[in-house]
Amino acid sequence: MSKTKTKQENETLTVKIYIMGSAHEVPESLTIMKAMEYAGFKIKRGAGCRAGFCGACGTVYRKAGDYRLYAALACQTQVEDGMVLTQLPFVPAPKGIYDVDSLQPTASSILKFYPEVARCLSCNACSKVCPQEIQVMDFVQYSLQGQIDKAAEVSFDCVQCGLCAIRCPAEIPQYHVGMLARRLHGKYNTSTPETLLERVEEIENGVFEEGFKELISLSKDGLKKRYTERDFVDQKKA
Amino acid sequence: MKMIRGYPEDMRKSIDNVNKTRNKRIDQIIEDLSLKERKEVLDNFHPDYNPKFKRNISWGGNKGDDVPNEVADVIEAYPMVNPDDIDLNQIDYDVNVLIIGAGGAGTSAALWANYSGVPKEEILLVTKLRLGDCNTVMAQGGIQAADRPVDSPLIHYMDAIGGGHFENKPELVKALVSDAPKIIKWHKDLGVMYDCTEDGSFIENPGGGTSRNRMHCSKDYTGLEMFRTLKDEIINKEVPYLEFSPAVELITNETGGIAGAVLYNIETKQYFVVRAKTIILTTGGFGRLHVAGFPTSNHYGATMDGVVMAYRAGAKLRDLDATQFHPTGAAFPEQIVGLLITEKVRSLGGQVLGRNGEQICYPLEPRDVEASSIIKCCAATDNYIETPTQMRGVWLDSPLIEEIKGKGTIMNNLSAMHRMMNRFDIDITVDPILVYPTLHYQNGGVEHDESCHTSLKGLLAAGEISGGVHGKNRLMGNSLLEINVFGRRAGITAANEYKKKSTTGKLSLAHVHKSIKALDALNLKDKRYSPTILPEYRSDVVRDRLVQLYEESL
Amino acid sequence: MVQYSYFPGCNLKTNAKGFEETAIAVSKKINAELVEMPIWNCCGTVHTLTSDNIMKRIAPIRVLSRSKKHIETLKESPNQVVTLCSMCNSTLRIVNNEVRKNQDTLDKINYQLEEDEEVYETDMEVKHFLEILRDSVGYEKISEKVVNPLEGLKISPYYGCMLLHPEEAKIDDEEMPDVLESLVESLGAELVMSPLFKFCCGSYHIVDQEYIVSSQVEKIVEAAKRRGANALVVACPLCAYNIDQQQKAMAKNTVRKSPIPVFYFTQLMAIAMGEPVKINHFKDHFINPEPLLKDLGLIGRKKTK
Ligand SMILES: Cc1cc2nc3c(=O)[nH]c(=O)nc-3n(C[C@H](O)[C@H](O)[C@H](O)COP(=O)(O)OP(=O)(O)OC[C@H]3O[C@@H](n4cnc5c(N)ncnc54)[C@H](O)[C@@H]3O)c2cc1C
Ligand code: SF4
Ligand code: SF4
Ligand code: FES
Repeated sequence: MSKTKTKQENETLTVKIYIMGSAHEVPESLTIMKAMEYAGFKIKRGAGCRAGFCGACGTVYRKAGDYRLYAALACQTQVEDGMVLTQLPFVPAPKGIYDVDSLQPTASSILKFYPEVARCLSCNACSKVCPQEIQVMDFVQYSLQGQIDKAAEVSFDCVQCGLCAIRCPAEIPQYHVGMLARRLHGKYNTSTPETLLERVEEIENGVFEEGFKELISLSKDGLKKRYTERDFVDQKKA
Repeated sequence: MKMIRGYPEDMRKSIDNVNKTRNKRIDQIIEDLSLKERKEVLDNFHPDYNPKFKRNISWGGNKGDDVPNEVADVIEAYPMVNPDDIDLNQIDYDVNVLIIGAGGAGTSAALWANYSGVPKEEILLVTKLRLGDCNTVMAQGGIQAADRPVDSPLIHYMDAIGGGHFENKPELVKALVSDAPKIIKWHKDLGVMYDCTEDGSFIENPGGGTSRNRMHCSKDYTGLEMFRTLKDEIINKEVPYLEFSPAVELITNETGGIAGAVLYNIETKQYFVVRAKTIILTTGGFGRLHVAGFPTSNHYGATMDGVVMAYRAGAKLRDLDATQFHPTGAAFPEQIVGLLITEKVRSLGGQVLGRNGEQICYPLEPRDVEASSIIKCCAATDNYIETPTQMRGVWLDSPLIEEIKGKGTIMNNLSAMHRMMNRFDIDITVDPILVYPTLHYQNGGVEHDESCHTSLKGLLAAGEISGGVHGKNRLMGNSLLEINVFGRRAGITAANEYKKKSTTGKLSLAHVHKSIKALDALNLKDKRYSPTILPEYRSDVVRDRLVQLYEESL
Repeated sequence: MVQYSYFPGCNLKTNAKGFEETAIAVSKKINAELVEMPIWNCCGTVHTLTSDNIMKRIAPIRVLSRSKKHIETLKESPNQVVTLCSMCNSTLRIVNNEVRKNQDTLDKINYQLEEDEEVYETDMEVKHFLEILRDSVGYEKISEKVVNPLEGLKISPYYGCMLLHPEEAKIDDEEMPDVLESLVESLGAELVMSPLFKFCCGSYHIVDQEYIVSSQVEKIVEAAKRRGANALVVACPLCAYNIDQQQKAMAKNTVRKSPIPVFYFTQLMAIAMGEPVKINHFKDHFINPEPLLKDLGLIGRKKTK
């Protein structure tokens, strides 16, 4: 290239990566996602939150001289020299259609919608691929064993990227299984605190209406005064 | 550059100060600011109060309003679709309720419309990217609800009004705080896993500007847990939805009411016409406009499209002068600059420190005050820490949490934060996090009333797109609450409309033509187009080449 | 206290809670405590007969390797993994034998497990809890702990197929087993021998060919009843389910109107040793054993004539 580089540009170290086979020279400090943009791709499917929460940017790659297939979230992973990568932002895995109100927190609820769970080979390919480092096999097994509480807890950090489902020789959509387990656990295995139910009732009975009327009638200065005088019961203040 | 456990050697010196002072700081409580002191630090350091970053809107119903330049830019921009290219006689989707934007507000609106009697075939939920690409899924810290005996909706009301500088719409705040316990109950019934203590009561944390602990959370994945449950339910209820199909313009009728929207398939680049009796706008916020040049915590599609579309159709906006910068965005490493470090780190006891390891402010001020104090430290003192890429920041002392609350607290309550930093070799149980404010939340937006009606007939709004609920500044945990409270109310309102007999009228894009005329009259220097849909992050070289190709084609 | 690494298997957690809870309770009484593996996976059932299917053998080997790790945390624990389900017992045992004989297969499996830091070195024995009772504890010790002899119970032992077949997996003589018999006697119950002690219950045909199961069960139960039995004892959740559930169906649909309850051997032990009744989970049974036990005065208040 004829363009003379500025001092700043000279200082940035670059690495060579291969995006779907084609080579690109990109600054080494970038995430895979930003590197793809740097290289000229306008991302439509493989990005959502750009912060590791939505699971839209599942990416698989290999490294030079290493037979292993790695997986990561493109928005949370720095590029490395020699990376050969592609995005897998969509995983075909239909979700069961259910009504949680009519289910119980048992293995048979899980098996009813995902009978393939019984085919799990305990190969652990799923856990190895999970970018959230979830013990995916373990939560699949917990669901099969009817230990719904444990399945819910182990699967909790799942961002539903679908990478595990792509790797599963038993064709299980693990992340949907975890979703069902969590809903069953959240609904049935923990109670709804009494204080919450009482408060809902108080509000429905209009217990606070008078108070609201008074607060709404206050002038701005009146409100300011009230606000400054608030008491703090839970927190220590200087 | 030598790296030691994730940090460059240079920064380690300052970390040593943090470690040295920690014991002394455990019980040290620094005083919070008086209303007068608050005003001072805001005036001097908050970007909202810096005329350099703002200008007046030059056309339309909110002409003269003072807003950030980037907001004015998208409002003073030409429609991205040429209204003459759209054939309104060919209706592609004819439904009763159209919901634009499938974040938390949109999905709860769709569910409540359905619960309240609108059959699923009469609902259409459209969204820009994938179901799940939204700000809701990223929310970490929690959701407020005054459900403890020591708390009350009235106290919650005061906290929210004070946080919003007494500029909130009172009836909206009342709705917000009164519906809160109902929302938590609804979630619980759906199976949302809120954190509980051994005895089955909710774990409730403090938040910036709250006088009671009322932050309900699901570790630091509150938004993820809430949203994936709502999404699961949308699919279970078989509500039809379209992904990768943002709305690019609203459709009006002869009376100026709203009667539909034009969708744009971002993959095939086709336009589609939707006719609907009620349109619920739930497109979320504007982080990706990078107000005042700040990085953002928001998702990829947070470009304020809904506000722009509504404005062109004549909807009233409010409070867009106030922008929320979250005090603690990541400032290091470079790969994650701007991503959110949840307020929960401070709720659990984390302190904000300067280079010397001493506290620089009370850690739980309302967000604007906290952010301004950090900006002050970095701009007006030398008590900041500088990264190898010349980014300035202050320390957020996360290891202190484990000193106060015991070992394991971080793994149990902040696993997302731990994971994010750990991906870059930083262990937040032993080392602090470098932070600097990040563009976080659109405080203002489309005005609506308690049942979500906007100033335009047929158009409802709910969620971050709206203005009024939070006044000039939102408190943590009130937004996840807002999207459920007003999403639900919008759904119910739509169901009430569904039961009434009325027609949509004749579809028209006259308002778009009118907007073009108004824009022509401004003689704008740069010709811009909006809605933005997705921000542009490709390198200059690529962008220049695209412009060149475009110009050649003319 | 001797502690054993206990592998439950899925059935014990779902359909056979009474089996598990009574087993754990009595195991503590007889100084052979069953301690559940902290984390475990399916045994790999049903054992595949194709010898080159490595994938199907990963699950059982993972169980053995996890159990080995578990033992390091236990007291006085022999290198044994103990099962209650005869299906799990069979699968684990067969695969254990296979890899002992075939280093190549073991290497291939270990290669898959390596990244999970699980490596198996063929140094585990798979034991059914019945074997522990017979070989390590001894009937005498069991008798000593009996406080409530099972007088009046006339029990016919039913082994099913999995405990006695195939050769590599059997826990007793396939023609003349006596482990259940001796156990029943040591608890003070009357033994009723039936020729159909290992006549197949129909096994997983229950899923889609129920008629096979019902005709098998009818024969098993009738043979025992004709010889005077008022209850059956089993050691396998699937046998228990089939025999229990089919009798109920028969009572409803056929002339066979007098079903007899089906016990897990550990339930009998628990009753004889005076454990609380509720750990039996009799509510989960199709034929509730409680009326019979009450009649005989074995639970609740003694009946006064
Ligand atoms: C990192 C982070 C952490 C947060 N933490 C908290 C917290 O702890 N507590 C709290 O209360 N709040 C928190 N918030 C704020 C809160 O999450 C959001 O304000 C809230 O979720 C907004 O919900 P929404 O439904 O209005 O918008 P969103 O959830 O953003 O959904 C809007 C949807 O509309 C779509 N859309 C946009 N334009 C169009 C178009 N033209 N056509 C069709 N669809 C469109 C978007 O793609 C998106 O899917 C946080 C926000 C962020 C970013
Ligand atoms: S469990 Fe599966 S879907 Fe969930 S984060 Fe891990 S790999 Fe992705
Ligand atoms: S990849 Fe599939 S078969 Fe293998 S352990 Fe995971 S869920 Fe089981
Ligand atoms: S874009 Fe959401 S996880 Fe990467």
